Amino acid sequence: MSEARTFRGLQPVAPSQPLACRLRRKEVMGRQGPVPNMGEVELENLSAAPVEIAYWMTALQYLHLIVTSPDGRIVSEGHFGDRFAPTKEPLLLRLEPGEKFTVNVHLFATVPQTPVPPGSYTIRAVYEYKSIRAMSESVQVTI
Amino acid sequence: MIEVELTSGHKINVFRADDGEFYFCHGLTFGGKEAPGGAVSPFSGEDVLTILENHYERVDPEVVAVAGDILVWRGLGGETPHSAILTNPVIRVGENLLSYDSLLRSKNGTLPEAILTLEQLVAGPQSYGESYTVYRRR
Repeated sequence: MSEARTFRGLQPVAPSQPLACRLRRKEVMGRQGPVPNMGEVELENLSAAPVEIAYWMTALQYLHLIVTSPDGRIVSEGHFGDRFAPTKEPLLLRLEPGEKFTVNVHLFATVPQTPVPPGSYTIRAVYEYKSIRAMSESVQVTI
Repeated sequence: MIEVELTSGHKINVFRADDGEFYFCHGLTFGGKEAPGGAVSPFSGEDVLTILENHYERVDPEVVAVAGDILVWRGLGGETPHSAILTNPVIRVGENLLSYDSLLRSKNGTLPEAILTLEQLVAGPQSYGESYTVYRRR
């Protein structure tokens, strides 16, 4: 006969996330030279099944770029896709197992204040879609 | 969502907010904000492309663009995530592209209309990249 036990202090193990979200700095050349403060978001399907993401504006409409100022305040607002026009029908981003999707982003895309005051900022990408919540390591940017 | 018929006879779907006042960038660019009964905005993608194919021609090279021409951005999945109206094209001698100093009237998402430089729209924090095309009304 099996016996169920409860152990104090043990936390339930969170189900593994099917997506990895990565953020890194990237040098992007515009037609008038380097574009400052650019980065790259990468989504990778870590699961053994395809991941499908329905979107109306951009595949990154579920992306938060959380920007923390030098004094520890979060100075970003909203989603990355808030400024994009919507489509009538959803578009589909389908990632096969192991497949990666990368897009260039401006690291201060969700900071309403322009210009961004000088200082050292911490930026983290969080991608939330239905039950998926994937978070990147943080990136440091000094202006 | 409502369906409207263009003067060319083609039908497209447009967005109309409950308050009849809100519109997004394509409502500004294609004049839907002045629609009778309340502002409308063509949807990104197929609906905007139908307007372009039947009522606009590409301006190529873009350096010959004039005030009133429009810029339409393309997305990865066939969408047209942004558009804006060129109000003051700036040309540099010897260059074949619009200068970043060119001015456009733009409505970025829920923000109010504003005059922005091309640089702000292609390389600034709230930008859409350089994947735009210039069009002129036929």
